Amino acid sequence: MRLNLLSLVTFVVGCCLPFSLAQAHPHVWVSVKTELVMTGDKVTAVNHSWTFDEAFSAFASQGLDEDDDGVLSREELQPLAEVNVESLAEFGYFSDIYEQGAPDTTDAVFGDPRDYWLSSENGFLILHFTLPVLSDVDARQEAVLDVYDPTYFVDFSFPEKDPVSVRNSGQSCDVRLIKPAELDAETASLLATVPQGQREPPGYLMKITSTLANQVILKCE
Amino acid sequence: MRIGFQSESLFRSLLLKGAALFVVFLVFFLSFCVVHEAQATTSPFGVALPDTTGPIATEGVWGQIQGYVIARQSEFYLALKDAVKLVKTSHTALLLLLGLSFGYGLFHAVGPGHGKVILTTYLFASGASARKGAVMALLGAAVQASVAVLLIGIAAVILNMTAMVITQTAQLLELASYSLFVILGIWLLMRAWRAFKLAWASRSHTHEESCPLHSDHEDSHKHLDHGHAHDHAHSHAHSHDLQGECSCGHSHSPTLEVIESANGFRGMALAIFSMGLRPCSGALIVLVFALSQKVFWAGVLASYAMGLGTGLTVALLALMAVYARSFSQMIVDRGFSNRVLDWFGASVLFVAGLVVFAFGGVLLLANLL
Repeated sequence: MRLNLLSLVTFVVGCCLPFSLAQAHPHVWVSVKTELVMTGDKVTAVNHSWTFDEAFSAFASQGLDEDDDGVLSREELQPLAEVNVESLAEFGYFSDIYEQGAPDTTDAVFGDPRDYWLSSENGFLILHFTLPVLSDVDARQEAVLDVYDPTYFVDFSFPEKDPVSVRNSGQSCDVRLIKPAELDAETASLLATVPQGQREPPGYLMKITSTLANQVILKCE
Repeated sequence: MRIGFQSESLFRSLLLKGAALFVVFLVFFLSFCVVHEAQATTSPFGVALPDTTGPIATEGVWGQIQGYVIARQSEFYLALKDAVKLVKTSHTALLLLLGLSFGYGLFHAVGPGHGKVILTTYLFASGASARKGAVMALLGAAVQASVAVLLIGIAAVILNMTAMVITQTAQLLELASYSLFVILGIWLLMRAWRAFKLAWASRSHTHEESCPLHSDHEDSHKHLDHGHAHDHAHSHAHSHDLQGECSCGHSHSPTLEVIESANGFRGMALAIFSMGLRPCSGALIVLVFALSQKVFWAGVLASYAMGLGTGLTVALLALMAVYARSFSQMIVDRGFSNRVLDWFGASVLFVAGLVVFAFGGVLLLANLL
């Protein structure tokens, strides 16, 4: 009886110890174009235009061409756009904006999205939405916009052409892009341990995931 | 008489201590599962379910392999989409598509997944043969591919439903799958309970079991057709019976009988469907994409190629579970009596039932709440 128990405990514990429950791998690829809207020295809104990959676009727009004319109109796509932004809220829109070096806060960074809509171009869906910035982000201090999915269900990247623009910049501003490092095997499996829906990865992973962020750094004089 | 009574009370107190230890351990284990698992699967865009969580190794060689595979999956997936488009113009591209789909399935299955947890737990507990384990893995994958094809075939091709509705249907299937986990867990627990009762009842008269009883068992074997004669792993695992105290040749304790019946048709069917009911997001997206490219048939073939790849990887895991069982059984076999073996089998069945039940229950709750 003793040994019986012991072997059982060993078996179950042995099975569980090296494992943690985890999330998988990207199913959606998004090409991010973004526009930073300024009021004075502050960044007050972020205009996102996200282009989904072709297969996900086909999946998401399935059955939406109601008049069957082969063209997805803005009206036909609106229910999907609504579902998209509603669902994205839980994930913090995969975006974060802050002044360089500012301490992490738990306060909401963005208000509810405005002017959201979808367009379809050559089979690619593009989600347009505006995120009002709630916190004070001064571009003279270097404003940083992060776009990434720490859980890696969505693979975000900047396109080659015109990824970022700035609107209403009164003074001379300098925009830099930091593209994420190529994902290596170790990082990928570490990332896979972050449960879906958990916004903040545990501390030891933060260092890694922050290197995977697509970053826009805005500095105005 | 007095000595017999004492040893029995000692046995009882040991049993009680053992049970107490079990409960403490299980509470620990279950809370571990709950903490890690209580995350509902939500999709960031409201359509297409993310793949659900499952165990994944982060350390050692296995972690390295998984990391590499996860890093490569994007490339596979993107190439797969290109292959679907190519099929429109070139029929030889079909071979490319099938090859890529097969590879995607093969590697996809290395990653996390609930089905694998359920299957390996079930196989370890029920002591099924290697062949049964492999067949179950392949059938589970075939069911999963068929569910995806049927879902998209009916919902998208025939009814032209939207992605939102398809996602909701996939969510329902997911809930059904978790419910089957719970049912399979209860079913295993009931079996364990029966095995415990039999083991308890036979604790005093195992040694003087009469021969006619055994011939009864032999008869029932023929009826149930367990396939003992053809199955090496199986007969190996129970070879102790041949050297048992009874001289009537083939003997099989009633407890082992109950434990083995867990890998009968019903248990297998439950496990296969609980694994296969939840369609894989990758397959759903490829199917709808193929439909949008007007080559739905290619999507169907790709889904089954993916399923074959997944099935083969899972079959490998299944074999590991089967061999882990026969190995541990062999160790218990060597130094202990049939009675210990009975208790061992029943206990494993009990723990497996609890694990499957808790796993399904937690997933179900996390998705319902």
